[in-house]
Amino acid sequence: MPTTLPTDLATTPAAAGIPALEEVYRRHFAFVWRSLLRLGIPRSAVEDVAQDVFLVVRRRLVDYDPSRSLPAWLFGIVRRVASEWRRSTGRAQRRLDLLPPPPEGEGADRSAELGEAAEFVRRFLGELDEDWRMVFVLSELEGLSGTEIAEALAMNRNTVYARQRKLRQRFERAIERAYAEGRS
Amino acid sequence: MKELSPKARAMLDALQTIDSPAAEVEARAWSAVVGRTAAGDLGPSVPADPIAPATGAAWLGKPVLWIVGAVAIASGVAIAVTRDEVPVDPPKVEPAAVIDDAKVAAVPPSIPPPPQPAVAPPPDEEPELVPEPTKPVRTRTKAEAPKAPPKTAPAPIDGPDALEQEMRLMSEARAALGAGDASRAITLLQRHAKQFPKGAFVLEREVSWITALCALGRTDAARQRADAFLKRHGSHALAAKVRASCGGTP
Repeated sequence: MPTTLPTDLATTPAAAGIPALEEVYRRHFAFVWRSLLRLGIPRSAVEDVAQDVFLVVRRRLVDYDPSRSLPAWLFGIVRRVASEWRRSTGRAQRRLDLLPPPPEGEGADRSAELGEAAEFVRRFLGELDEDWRMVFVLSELEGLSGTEIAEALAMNRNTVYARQRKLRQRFERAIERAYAEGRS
Repeated sequence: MKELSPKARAMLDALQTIDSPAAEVEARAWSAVVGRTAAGDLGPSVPADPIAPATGAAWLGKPVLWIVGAVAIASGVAIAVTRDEVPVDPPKVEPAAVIDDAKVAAVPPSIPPPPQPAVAPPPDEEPELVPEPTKPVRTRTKAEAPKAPPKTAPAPIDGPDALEQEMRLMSEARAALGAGDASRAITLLQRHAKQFPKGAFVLEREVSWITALCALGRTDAARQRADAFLKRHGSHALAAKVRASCGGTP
């Protein structure tokens, strides 16, 4: 851990292995964005909440231990900022979910296949408890290692592996079922 | 451990593609982070980072962390030490010592914001109803925590009741569209645009509007709105619907 604070986290060279804020942002903005979505932050709010995440990162970067996984450390912040957002936004925001989906547009959707596949995965994720969902997201979508996931979720590594295995089986079964029911 | 099948992998890739932000969004958000930092915004107060061991053995093997934990606890900082399957979210205790990092707060950002993406002005037709404009520095608009009031002027109607009204209006517009009454849908969408210019359903409104224009055979108008939408929100999940509409068809 560094003993002195860098004068400006955004611009000074890395101190004691700590990356500059701009570098963290450039490398991990998309990860933060997607993680917020998968923690239930609506698209209409995700940009604001992502800004909040990086403001917290800026504040906390001096405490980052370079021996830890940066995505895992970031995810801890993402999760807490998302939780705080949900708590402060409360019922009003949750009512957004009550709005029916927009009507279908005219003609065939060129991205229908892509959208349908994504929607299928979203539904699958929606059926999982948050801890299980995040194991699946961090491993299968974000490509984090078992150790990183264990760190990000404060979870035993063997538990991560066990869940990963079960989740893969469950996902494959869900796909098989969907195809069997006529989904193409 | 058995790997996922190619079919499963392809489905995950589809979600990953759709959920990733556009480059313009990334640039805009960075400008906003810099701007908010310059304004002294430290971001929301969140609980301190729990020390998360990868394994129980690893935790025991890191005496430095024990020392850090002891010091933090002595300072009144709540540290959630979790093991195995204990839920992650720590108690909602706000350690002032961690949040009020005066050293960081006093540091002004010296980096200039990246150049804003060039966005063409919205179409001339019905100018008051175009999607939300791109702002040089985006301030908080949604997460309006009581302790951090928004810096921008409020929308004409605001608050939880406004959300209900907005939702009702959008539902009516969609119902009209679904019933084949595109003219009424546009009237309702116009009303929505006036009452909620920066509402929660701005993008949905635009998509419905384009769909309604297509239903009325107003292809040119639909195309103008679709172009404006895709320039700003080309990577949004709703962009696929816009592209599939008559407005998105070349």
